[in-house]
Amino acid sequence: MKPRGLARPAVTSAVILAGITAGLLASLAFGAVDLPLSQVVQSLFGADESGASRIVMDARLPRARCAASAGANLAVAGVLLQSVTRNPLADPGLIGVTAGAGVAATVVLAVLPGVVVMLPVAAFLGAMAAAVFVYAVSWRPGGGASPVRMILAGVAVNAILGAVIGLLITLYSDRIPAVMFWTTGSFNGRGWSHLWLVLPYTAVGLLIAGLLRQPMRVLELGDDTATAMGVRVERIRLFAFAAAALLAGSDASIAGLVGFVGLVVPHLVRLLLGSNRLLLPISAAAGAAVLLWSDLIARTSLAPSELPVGVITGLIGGPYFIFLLYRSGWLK
Amino acid sequence: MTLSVQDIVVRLGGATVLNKVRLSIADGQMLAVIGPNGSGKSTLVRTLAGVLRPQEGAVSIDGRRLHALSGRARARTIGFLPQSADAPSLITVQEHVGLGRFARRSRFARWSADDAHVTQSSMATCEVEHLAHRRMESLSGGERQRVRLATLLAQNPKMLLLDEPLTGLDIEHQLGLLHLLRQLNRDGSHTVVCVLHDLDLTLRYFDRVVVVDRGTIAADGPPHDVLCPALFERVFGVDGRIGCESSGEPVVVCRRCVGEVARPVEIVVRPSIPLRTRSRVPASKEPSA
Repeated sequence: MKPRGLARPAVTSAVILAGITAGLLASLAFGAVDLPLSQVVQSLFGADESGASRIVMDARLPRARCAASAGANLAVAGVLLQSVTRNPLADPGLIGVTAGAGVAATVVLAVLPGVVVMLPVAAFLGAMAAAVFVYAVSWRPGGGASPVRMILAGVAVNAILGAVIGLLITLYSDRIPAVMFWTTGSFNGRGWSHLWLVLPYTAVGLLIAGLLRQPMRVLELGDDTATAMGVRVERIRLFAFAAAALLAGSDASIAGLVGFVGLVVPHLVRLLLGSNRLLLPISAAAGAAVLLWSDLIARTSLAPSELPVGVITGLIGGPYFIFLLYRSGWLK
Repeated sequence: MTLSVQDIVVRLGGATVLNKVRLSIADGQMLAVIGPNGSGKSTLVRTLAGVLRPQEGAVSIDGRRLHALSGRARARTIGFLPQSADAPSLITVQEHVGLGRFARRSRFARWSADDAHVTQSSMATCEVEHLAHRRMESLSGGERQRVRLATLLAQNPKMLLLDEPLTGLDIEHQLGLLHLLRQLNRDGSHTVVCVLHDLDLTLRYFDRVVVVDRGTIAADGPPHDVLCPALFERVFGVDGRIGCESSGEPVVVCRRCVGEVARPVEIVVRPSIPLRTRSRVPASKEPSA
């Protein structure tokens, strides 16, 4: 808790901030039309009616902001859930949020394509409904929601919802491509309206997460110890769960189902920091950087066609993570 | 400051673990809670610590209901060291002890010089200062237990409740920990409530012993009065008594289960062999006892 040589957090934060800045500028500069950096900066600070300015301000900037905010959300949700379930494998997929968004989105995309404009709202509501259901199932009067019950309930709900998605895409097999593209996650065509839609939920989620930092660190010492040290365990767990659900739901609403980031970014930051201190803010920044770069790669590597961003996070992030694990000695 | 329970009933998983227990712990006492396995000792201290809420009856501190206090206010008065705790990964000793300040800091306060000072002095008291930057997972069981105690002291509660803090410690660390607790009790006038299994240590280090048996309190008083042959037989099922060492110090002697026939032990007085040479004697040539 007390700072002990800030070198590692400082260096790590500096690297990540540089990564975000570079990723942002690159996202604004590269695409169907490559713009020189000078023009990008000029557009950012003095938008005019030129074509370049329109591309930067109306298409690339909002999309980059979506990617960055989705990355931060997922990483923070991952930190919250891993801490609160005391399970290193926890991520937004585990508590049913992802599958809930998936079912709702599949219903819209496959069954009701006429109301596809409602997709972000439906995905968010689906995510919330699934999260509430998982929490309700894992809750016992007197005992609250225990980590183990949360995980088991999440697994069960995931199985059910996964089956529903499977059923829906079998019945509406002509709609498979649309569903597939959504379920691997993409920022294609995402703009300001998507950001504004989820902003309140994201803000509340991040605020709660920030307030929970201290009690969650105490909670890691075990329920009895934390209670004796003055933490209201049940309440902290509920708030952490709710914040994670809000963040992951916001994210699913913007980007579809982007895997890997929520699970791995917190571990990545832990490996880099060698500590859990400052894990939350640095993970948020790292998540933003990761998705900014992944989205850039997703839309430029095979231009003019576009890859789902989830493919990039998995294909590049996965091996890199294994490399880090190996180097840190966890896999030796 | 008096911590008391009035006729509490605690049920866990359908079983009644504590039944109508009544107990009052006054300021500055050094109290041992003993009893056979499964008698309800842990449940009793967990209830006293406010971790468990009794189904009937109430826990109160100076006449106020314990559960009416906020978590932090309770933690400033009562500290509790559970039997086992998760050791979170990557946390250093200093960070662990620093977490003890949780109840002492307001929600938005920054880490203050006072927090740093108390953290440091708690580590010094428990002799873990030299481990400050080590990670918890790299420590031995004894070191980890001392760090947990330092965390408890950083919280600076008036009462220290400890659930089997000696488990897994070697004899030197057991005595060291009890010595430290007694010092805290005498110098800082902390009230100490400690669950333990060692009857002899109970006799030597505590002023009061509460014996828990099958969910009720079987005996309560000074160790010299409580630890009598009748209690050993009734509660623990062993033949035991308080004996006397050659130095004149009292010692608890429990030799066998009730009803077990004593095996005659022949005492052979060997010629005194210096310790170092004795270890080199081949096993076959060792005189059989």
